[in-house]
Amino acid sequence: MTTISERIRQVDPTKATLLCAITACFLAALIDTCFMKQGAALMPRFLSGTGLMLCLLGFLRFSFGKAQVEDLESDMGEGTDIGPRQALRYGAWMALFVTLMWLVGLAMSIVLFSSAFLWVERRATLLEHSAINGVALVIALPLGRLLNIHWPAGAVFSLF
Amino acid sequence: MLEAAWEALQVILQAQHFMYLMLGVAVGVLVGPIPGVGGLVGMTLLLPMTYGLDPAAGLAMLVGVGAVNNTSDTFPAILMGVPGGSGSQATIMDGYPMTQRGEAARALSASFIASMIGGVIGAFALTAILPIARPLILSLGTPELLMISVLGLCTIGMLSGNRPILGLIGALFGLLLGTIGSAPVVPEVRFTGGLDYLFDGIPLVVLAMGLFALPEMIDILARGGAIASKTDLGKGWMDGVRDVIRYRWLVLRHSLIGAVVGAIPGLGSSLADWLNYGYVVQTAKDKSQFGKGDVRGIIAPESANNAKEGGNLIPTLLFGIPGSAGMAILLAAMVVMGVQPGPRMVESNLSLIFVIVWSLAIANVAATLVCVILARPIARLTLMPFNLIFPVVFILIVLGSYQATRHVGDLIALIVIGVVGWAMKRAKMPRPPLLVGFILAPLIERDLWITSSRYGFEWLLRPGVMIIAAVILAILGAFIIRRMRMEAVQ
Repeated sequence: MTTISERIRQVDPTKATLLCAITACFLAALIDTCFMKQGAALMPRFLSGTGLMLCLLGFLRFSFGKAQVEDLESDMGEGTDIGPRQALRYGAWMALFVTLMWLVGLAMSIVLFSSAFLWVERRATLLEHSAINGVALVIALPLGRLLNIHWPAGAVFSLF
Repeated sequence: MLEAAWEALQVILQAQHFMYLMLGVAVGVLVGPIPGVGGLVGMTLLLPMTYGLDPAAGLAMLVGVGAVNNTSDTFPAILMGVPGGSGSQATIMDGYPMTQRGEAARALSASFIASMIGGVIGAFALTAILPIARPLILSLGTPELLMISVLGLCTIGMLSGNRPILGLIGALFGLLLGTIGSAPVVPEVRFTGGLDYLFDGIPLVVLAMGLFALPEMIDILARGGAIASKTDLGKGWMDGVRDVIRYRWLVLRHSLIGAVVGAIPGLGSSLADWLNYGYVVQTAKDKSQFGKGDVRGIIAPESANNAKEGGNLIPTLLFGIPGSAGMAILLAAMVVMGVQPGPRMVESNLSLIFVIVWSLAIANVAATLVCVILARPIARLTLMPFNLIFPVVFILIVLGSYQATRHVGDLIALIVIGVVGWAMKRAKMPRPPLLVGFILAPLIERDLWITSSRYGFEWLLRPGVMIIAAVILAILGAFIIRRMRMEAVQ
């Protein structure tokens, strides 16, 4: 017989955090509906109320039910187990591209981002750098034009 | 109806529409063999391109990607024993042993031809259901339509993945996200936190990109390396064609089963694949070669897999309930292009339904031809390391998201939703219910408002509503009993 604290230790932290975050969202939404007009509040109130009950059911299963059965089942599409350092690294890459885009504009950010990424993550050869940068530019720039996106020229250039 | 079908064929054969269809086929053939990327990411990447596009061209393109992905994802399954997508898992059982025996070409050709026939049968299944479904759908009132939406959402929530509670929570969370922004019935904005960006709600494209494309990319990157170290196809292309002719009734039977399974929202490719594999093994007289390289073990799941796409389109187009994540993207594209899917579409946009039917049939034939002709270069795609593809795909994801409203909020939302999507993937929480809930939110809210203000609580006593409610309860009950039995066994 496992105790509740043992069970909590067995629960996947990502799943627990996600469930807590969603519960908080439902709770906040339910409180917010108290300040809404009747027509606007009807659906969110129903959703957040039902959502909260289901979250509670989920927590009860974690604590008293046989949630381990669920956790042991194999599932296609399971995420690769990446640690916090790796997660932070990928997050930093994304943030880098977005920052570069606003600093130096789209075309240059594509070249800088893919060059930096290929160098750090792959130690790519010059040929690989040229090929990937070329493909990225050839795909992204006409697509941007096709979608009628007017990208900023880049904050750095506006200084001159 | 025949007139609409003829009109649709003429539309799809126009140069511009045909070009978009072929673009979709090309993307589907290219992304299908890359495990983890697949048709879903391919469709998501092409979703922004549908902005301002003629609906027939845009839908033909997306149907092209989704339909052929099931054909091209057999490359890694047969050559390396790695499923290209959830729909090619069972193909590995006999496909990979055939490759090890030096019969990769035979296995691939049998798979492509079976997929093509299955895809065409699936398209005809959709056509055949239209005359029956049309009068039925047109007789439904708003309360019944509301209940059908709820039924679809519950089915997807309970059946996608094996976590009904998490699935339902995801669906409700998607619905809640769909209510962000201006309320449709009264002049009030909800849950915006004072941010102007959220006044019109979260853009659908950003949500789809963040939920599906970004987590898959992170996952692929984290996995690292290439898929395979060698790709040798061998000989025997015609043997595979002869196998399909020899087992033609098997192809027909499993295509029909695939179409039926596809028509039930939430059952997914994986189930269609394994169900058909299990069925062919059970019904075969000589079972000795299954798992060791029996071609019937490839033909059955592959024909069902492609036929399932036609079946999947039935609830998507006729009821506005997407049967899978891919269909949810298709539904999203329809909304983006100003087409309202669901029962009203049968009345007002029948020719567009036929455009989709024709696209599905033509895409399957074209994909088979492309896969057979370009088998060797496509197989070489699996040698490409993931970290080489990432910069190009990530730039496309950012581009696609930014064009939603051209606001910096699109990029911030993309990253936030990407983190949520990755956490859901990591926690094995099914993501399709969230997207489906988000898409159905305006429709359900409108129907709920009309129903409650027009009928009060009396709508709950309408016979149609009670029947659908009973079906929902039956599904829920069956699922609870199954879970209890599973837990008792464990």
